[in-house]
Amino acid sequence: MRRQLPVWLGFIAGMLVIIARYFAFPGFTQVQKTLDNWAMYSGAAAFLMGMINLTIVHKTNIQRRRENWGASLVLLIAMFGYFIYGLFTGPDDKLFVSIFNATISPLGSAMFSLLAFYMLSAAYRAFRMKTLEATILLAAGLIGILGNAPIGAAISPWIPSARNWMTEILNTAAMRAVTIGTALGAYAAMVRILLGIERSYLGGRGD
Amino acid sequence: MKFFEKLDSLDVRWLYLLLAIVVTIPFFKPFGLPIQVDNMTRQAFDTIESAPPGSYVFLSFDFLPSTLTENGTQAAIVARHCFQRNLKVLVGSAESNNEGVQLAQSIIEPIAKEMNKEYGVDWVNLGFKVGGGLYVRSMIEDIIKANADQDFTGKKLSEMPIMQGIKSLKECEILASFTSLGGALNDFVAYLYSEYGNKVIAGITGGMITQYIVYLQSGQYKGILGGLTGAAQYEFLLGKPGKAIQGMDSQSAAHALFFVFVVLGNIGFYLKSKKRS
Repeated sequence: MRRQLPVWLGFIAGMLVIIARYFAFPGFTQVQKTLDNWAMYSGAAAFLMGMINLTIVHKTNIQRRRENWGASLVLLIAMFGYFIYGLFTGPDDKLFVSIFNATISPLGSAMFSLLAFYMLSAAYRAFRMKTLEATILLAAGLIGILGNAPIGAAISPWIPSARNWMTEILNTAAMRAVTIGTALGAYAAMVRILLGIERSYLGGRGD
Repeated sequence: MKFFEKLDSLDVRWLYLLLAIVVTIPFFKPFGLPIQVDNMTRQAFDTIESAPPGSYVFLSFDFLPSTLTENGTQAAIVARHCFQRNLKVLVGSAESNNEGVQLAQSIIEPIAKEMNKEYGVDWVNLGFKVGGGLYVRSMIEDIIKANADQDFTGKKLSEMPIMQGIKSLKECEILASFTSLGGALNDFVAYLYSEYGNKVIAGITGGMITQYIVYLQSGQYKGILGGLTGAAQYEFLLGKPGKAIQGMDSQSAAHALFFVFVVLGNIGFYLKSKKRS
């Protein structure tokens, strides 16, 4: 029963949404809207669950003086401090916005920009013409790199044209196949979940 | 040969330093390389340009601060164009990204002030709501209800003049998502373009172009701004050079450095293999 009930609930909810989407019967449409709302409320509740979970994990770290427990303390102070401050002041408060702009924004940008340094190092050390395939890949990569910035056109108008041709013709052919394949795979996964063949979402082993 | 052997054993930190220098120099001494506009950006520009004044546009901020340089500059120039065309701008995050709506406020507010656009009349920030695709679907029913009649700061949406002319998201002429994730674009195509024929514009990071260009060719998108390059091309088309055009010289310099080091690495590799054989 513990396994059968969620599978049946999933099947009924899934079928209702599918029928409402493809056939637009008035009654089903209303049920779909209600289910949509429930899913949105569940999503909102998940944020609270996440916060509770984080608090439990890091509280335990601090209580047991685990390695880097100081970082856990900083996390909890930052999380609850920002949360409580935001609750009282609202999202347009100057200090609330400043904290976000002065911490989250630059830290996020810095983490992402590090990629450029690693990519340069990796491209220099690993991008080698070892085989014919690697040589073709290298040539395509170099045309892509130069063609995606004004320097490509400054060197030769042929470079951006070649880059556009690769992106719009060669890439598109492959990407369409990948996209359609992924969609069919997702469809198959949906059918497996609806029919209760795939049950890993219930938290078990999927058997 | 010795040069290449030395280069091969070069401490990687020298490479990092060189890249940092190369990227920084153009900010002080711009090269002024000409900007070439590609078809993707031109289509996006023409779509906004052809929207009737007074029509509604939904700008979805679905990116994190990590891609602010790319998506933020795209959103800023598209918002400027919308205001210039006297379009009504609804701002939010169809992908339920709380950082996105915070960034949206910081990006749009100064542009709106500069262009004398009034909050609640010419534009509004709908704020963060959970649900992603479900949120989009509920906005197709009723934007105000889907947002619990509250904007970003908790003010009543139903009392704002901008909301008097629109009930459903399907009444938006154009929907644009500036994204490093992509989910909202799929929702716009599935729920709005397919059913109601709304125009969708994608503001995506440079690395996403190869994946999303298929939707432009199929006509499901009416334009793509790809990475910082796309934003720079849009700034060029609008005749308003900004951060993106400024960043193009840095991008050119960095890409040229990549090119040089890949070529040098391969020459060294070739000479080494020849010596070995």
